[in-house]
Amino acid sequence: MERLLFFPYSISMERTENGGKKMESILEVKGVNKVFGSKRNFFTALKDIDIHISKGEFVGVMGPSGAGKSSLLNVLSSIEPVTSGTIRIEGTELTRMKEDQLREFRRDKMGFIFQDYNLLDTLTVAENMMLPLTFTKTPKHEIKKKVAELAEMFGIQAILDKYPYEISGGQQQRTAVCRAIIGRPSILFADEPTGALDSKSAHHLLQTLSKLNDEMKATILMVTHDPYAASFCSRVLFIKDGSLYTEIHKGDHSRKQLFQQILNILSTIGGGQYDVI
Amino acid sequence: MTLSSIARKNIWKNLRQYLIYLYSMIFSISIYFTFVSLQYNEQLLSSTVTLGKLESAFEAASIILIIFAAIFIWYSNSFFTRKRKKEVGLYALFGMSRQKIGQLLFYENIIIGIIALTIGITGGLLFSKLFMMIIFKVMGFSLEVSFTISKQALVQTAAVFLFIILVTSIHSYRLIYRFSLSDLFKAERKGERLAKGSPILSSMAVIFIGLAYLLLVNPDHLVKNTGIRFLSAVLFLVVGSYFFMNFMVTYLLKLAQRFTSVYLQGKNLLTITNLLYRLKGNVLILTVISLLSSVTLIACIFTYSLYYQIDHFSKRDNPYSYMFNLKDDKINQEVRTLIEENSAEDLLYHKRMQYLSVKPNVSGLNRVPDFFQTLVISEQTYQELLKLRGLNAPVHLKKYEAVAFYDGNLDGKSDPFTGKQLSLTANEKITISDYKQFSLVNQGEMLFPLVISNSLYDELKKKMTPEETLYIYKTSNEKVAKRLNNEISKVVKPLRYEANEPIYASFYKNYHYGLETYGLLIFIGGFLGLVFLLATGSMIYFKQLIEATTDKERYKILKKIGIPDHQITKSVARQVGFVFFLPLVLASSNTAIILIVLADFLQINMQVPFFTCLGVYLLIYLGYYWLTTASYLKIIKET
Repeated sequence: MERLLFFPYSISMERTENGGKKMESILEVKGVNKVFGSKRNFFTALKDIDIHISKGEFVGVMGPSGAGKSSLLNVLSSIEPVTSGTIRIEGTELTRMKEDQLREFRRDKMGFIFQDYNLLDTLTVAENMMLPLTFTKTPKHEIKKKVAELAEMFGIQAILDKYPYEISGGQQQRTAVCRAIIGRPSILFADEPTGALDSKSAHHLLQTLSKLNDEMKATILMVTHDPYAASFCSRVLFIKDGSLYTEIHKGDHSRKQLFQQILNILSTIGGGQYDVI
Repeated sequence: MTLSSIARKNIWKNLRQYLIYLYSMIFSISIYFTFVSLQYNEQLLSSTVTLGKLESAFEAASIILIIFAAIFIWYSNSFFTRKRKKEVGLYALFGMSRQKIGQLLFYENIIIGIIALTIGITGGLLFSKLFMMIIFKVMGFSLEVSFTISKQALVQTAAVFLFIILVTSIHSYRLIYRFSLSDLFKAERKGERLAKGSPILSSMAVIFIGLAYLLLVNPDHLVKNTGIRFLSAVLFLVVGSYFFMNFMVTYLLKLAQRFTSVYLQGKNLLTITNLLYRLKGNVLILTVISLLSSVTLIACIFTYSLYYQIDHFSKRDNPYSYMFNLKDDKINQEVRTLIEENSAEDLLYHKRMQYLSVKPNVSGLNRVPDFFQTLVISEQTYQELLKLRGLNAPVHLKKYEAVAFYDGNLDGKSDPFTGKQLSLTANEKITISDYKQFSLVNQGEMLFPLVISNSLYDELKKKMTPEETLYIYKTSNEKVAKRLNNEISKVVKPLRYEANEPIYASFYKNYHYGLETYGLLIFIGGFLGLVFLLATGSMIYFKQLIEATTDKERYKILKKIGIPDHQITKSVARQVGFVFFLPLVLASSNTAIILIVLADFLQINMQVPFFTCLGVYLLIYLGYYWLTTASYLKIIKET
């Protein structure tokens, strides 16, 4: 955990640029709409969404249940097609790609962390981590090297040969993080990553993500309903009824201040059902 | 809304789910009905002479079919109910009483059963005509197949399957009582324990199977007692197969994991880990299938080989087209005229073979029953006969020596005669000094031919009653001379059981007798083989589909993290292929060894039947493989 400095390659495709130049754009979303259902009986999940995420940002997405958080993530990560609008990742337009192209793009450019970890229970921890790479032409010895490095970094060397059902939820989620970043994706999508974890494991994981972001300049987009989790982000987007409601930047604020701000906004958009009152 | 109307609605709404269950029931019923209609078919019963002897084979086969059908229906019933556990749980949750749920499932199963029975019997009616045509063809009948419905078959099929349906319905009724509510909602077992592959137990598999083969081949007559030998061979084979599937396959898969360059290719990684994960639950079914396939293949190939070699057998056992001595000059003349008039151009050769009918004491041979007629033939007559037959098998006889001949011995290689003695009178003993592996006279007429030296023959001729004559004819139309045979039969039949033991043998009669017997045997063998093949195929099919349903989540994950579709398809194809072809590999090896032993023992060539049957088997098997892979992919890809 504490040795992120040894991470031998950067999460994004290119090295970070110095100086005051405008940061390189990773994700560009323009005018995205998502409608479910048929003509007569339809439901608009996303309305005119515009998002711009630059390299090295750690963006949180919040909103009450049913606001469209999951739809947004599914659409951004190309798991579901958009109804209209464009999505670009590192300049490549996703909305025009075919299913198989998309899958390869997803494998190479995106990393995923899910609430329920989504590890394969037939594979060991190590095998789960290396799985995405085994479908590429990466040399086998390099795969093994990367697994060893990541395992050391995330403190899971001891459980590499264990199966997912033999380890704790926190360990499973850390394995999932390793799997998500092993292929050096351009962007990491996290869907309620702490949702199934106890508070200690959750804190541990959030620290990991924020270190990935700080020290490796990893670009992360995290959907969460937990204000505490969102307070680790550098920017938080709020959506309500399928549209962007507002956004706040951490800027020079401390995490505590950001947390307070988040709570204020949530109370105005009706996120009152959260655990902190 | 009554219970039976809910049941009816349920069936129509979930038709797709019911279809697999329905298919397997219809399949079992129509197979069984087809078979019993053949068994009770009037045409078949009246037109065959051999059926009386093969009735027991038919009986046994139909009992095997019942057992098979019961197991098969039971298996698909539990597959089906397992799929519906959640639905049943929902009913319970909504407050339906246990008894009501039980009744619902009971009615449903009865309704499905009745539908299956109706369709199955209708299908069976159509099939039975087709199979009648096949049976007549292989038995060499040129009869028009009439379309008849056997009442007896109808009643028997209905009774057997109504009983099976009733039992499965009761089983369905009990489902709700067997599981607690939480059990019904619980997903399939999670975290199945991984099989352990031990190198020691794996080598035990090889040793056991090797021992079984060794016992079967039995080089240098290692084990004397045949019963113990076969019993222990089968035992070793069963245990060995189980060990092979359980430990050796696991061990080999684990070994494959060490080859990083192979293992760390995405699709191999998925295939191997999935196989390892599933193996433990599959060991039993794989073992059963490999043994069942062995039995099926052996039965098919063996019966086919017999049928395939009827020509060979007939020629070996019946060297002459006609051979007779009706012990009455007038009748002999009558038959001779019939043959000579009716086969003028087809006649290849004929001979009047002189022999002495002596009554020696044959008890010393331990082989020839004492009511057999012993035909003593002189060396000279023997040479003349062999010249006609185009054979060259010289004999060298001292005075009190004799040559014996092949007598239809099953163990084709052994020589049961040489060295043994028989006594003509109290102090005149003849030693059998040589044995020839061909028939000197046609088999089946209870004759024991012996060739002795000319000098002894002359001596005996003086002492004994006069020489007798065996009339021998060889024609080129011996297989088809139906009319001539019928006419001779008319003359000969009244003499059949006369005290002076008239001799009459015809190639045609024995050839067609063989054709009927082996034709019926190959039909039964092939029929059962087909049923078993379809059954094993369906068993793997069901099992794989159950796995596909539980694996669905896993493939969703793969899709989410961006594994391309074609890689998943490849991995599934390999995984299913492994499960299909592993038992077949073991079965082919078993079959090959057992058939080599059998072919050597019976001295028949089984190569063509072996490859033909294996080819057909493989073709149907491939069909199943393709179907299973396609269904598997469909299940995991539907959202």
